[in-house]
Amino acid sequence: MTDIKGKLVVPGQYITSAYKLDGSSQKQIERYIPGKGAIISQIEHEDKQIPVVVATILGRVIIREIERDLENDKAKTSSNYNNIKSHVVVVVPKSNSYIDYNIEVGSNILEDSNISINLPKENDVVLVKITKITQKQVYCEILSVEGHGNVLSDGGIGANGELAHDSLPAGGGSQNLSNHQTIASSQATALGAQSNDIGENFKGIIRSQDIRSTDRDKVKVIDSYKPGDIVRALIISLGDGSNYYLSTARNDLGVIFAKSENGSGNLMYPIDWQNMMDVQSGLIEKRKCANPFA
Amino acid sequence: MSDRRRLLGSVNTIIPNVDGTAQPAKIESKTEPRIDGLRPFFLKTGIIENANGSSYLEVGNNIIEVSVYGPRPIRGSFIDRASFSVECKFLPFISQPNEHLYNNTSISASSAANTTNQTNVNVNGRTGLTSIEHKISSYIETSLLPSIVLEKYPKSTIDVFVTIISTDSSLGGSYSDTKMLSLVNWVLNASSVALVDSGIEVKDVVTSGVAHLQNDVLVLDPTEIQEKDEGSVSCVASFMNLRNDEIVGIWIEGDQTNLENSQVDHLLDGCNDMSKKVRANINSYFTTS
Repeated sequence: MTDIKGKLVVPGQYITSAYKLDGSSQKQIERYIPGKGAIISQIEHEDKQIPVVVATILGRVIIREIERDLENDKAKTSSNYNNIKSHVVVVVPKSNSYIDYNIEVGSNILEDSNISINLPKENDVVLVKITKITQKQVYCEILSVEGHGNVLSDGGIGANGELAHDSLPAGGGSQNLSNHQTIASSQATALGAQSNDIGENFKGIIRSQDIRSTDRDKVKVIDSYKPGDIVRALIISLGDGSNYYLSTARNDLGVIFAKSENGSGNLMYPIDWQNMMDVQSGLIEKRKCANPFA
Repeated sequence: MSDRRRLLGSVNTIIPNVDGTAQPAKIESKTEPRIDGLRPFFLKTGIIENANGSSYLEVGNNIIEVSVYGPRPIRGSFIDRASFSVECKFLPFISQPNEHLYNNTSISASSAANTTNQTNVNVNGRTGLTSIEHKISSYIETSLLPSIVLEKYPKSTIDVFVTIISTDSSLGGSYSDTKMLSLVNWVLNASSVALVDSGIEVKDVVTSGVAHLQNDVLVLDPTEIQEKDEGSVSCVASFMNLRNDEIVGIWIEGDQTNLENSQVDHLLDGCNDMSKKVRANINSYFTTS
């Protein structure tokens, strides 16, 4: 077998058979599990269905051996078990802004942590921007997933992004030219799946009881977040159709960037977990601050 | 006496010495049982900055532009997978293939004789899709849907917008099933490429081929076919060539009264061969660009 590691593959291309014998000893079973950018397809060959790991995006192949957890190994009693070596197969996109950025700043990211589309999942840590507050909950939009880059490759473009301060036509200027006569898939409920404007991000809600872990019933939303704050939060649920549910009830979660006087002032710095100070004006405002470096 | 109302050439014009006898090369009419010519096509991706994926394809006089938006957040209730939609539109000044058949563009429906000269009577200023656009959109949607890994994108929509800028039939304006299916074929291939460009996960790149069968002569990627005769059948079929040549879409037009299984097989084989050729070209575009 020619080594496919590091090679460029197109969607649908076979990467490796899901199971195979080690080339030298012929005893060791190698098992390949699809990671990001790969799936298992059943491919017919001489009237047999063979499970094959195939690429689903255009990119480069990375194959990494899964290191075994010795304690869990003991629990397994299968006789063949020790003969199986597992690998995860990942396809990373050729290039995108997140990879380019990390190369530019010379940071060491896991080379397989990125895929061009990163929809938030449960337990992902995300950066959000607060858009609206009420007494019961905070509304926000999800900007990026930590360790993976922007949620959408066009995040930050359009009515809510860097064009926001330019002159825009009525309606925000980010609408596509759709007249909602499109042929939609019947697999999903077409009625429930009305699309948003271009440049709109996925939205989230932080309920007041999820803001912090102590004195949860005494939380005052207004003393925790203000519109415009950039907050580090954890996805606790995919939520309903419109909103993800987020939590900041941890020391490393909360406000990271905020400006004083509702955004008109200067950047503030945290002085403790619930106060931030604008060092130029000396103003102190209440926020639920994050300590990501603890 | 000089004509002062018109712009004339200068008085001392020299007529270039060009041999007027040169004739454009005549295309030999082909009679082999099978003609495998695949027209060269121009393909480019990533031309639309604001879209997640896009492609531009030129083949013959067909010019197709596709943009893919998504996965984008939805409004409304929770869905555990992505919703996929396709909208295919012709630019308003283009006469659409076979529109007198599908779009009912004639002034009065009874005067069928006049219809061949009619162009878009009620098409300009329209807001919705015409029937022909609807048919093409529906074919693209059907063909691409099985390839997309929708489960990876909950609560979102993936939207494909196809714009047909020029077509083979818009110039001649002649009636032709073959030209229409040929256009559909290239629209599908362009949409597939745009989908891959967007980075949305797909099980395989869907590609398609188009074939025409008449008197047991099979022509792939047909352009100038004398059809309308009895027994003339055109077919476009889409495949996932790396997934056991699975057929994901098929559209047959023409005289199907005496169509036999063997002929359909013949057509599908032809489409599959062309699809593989297109796939090979697309693969090499992706790996070298």
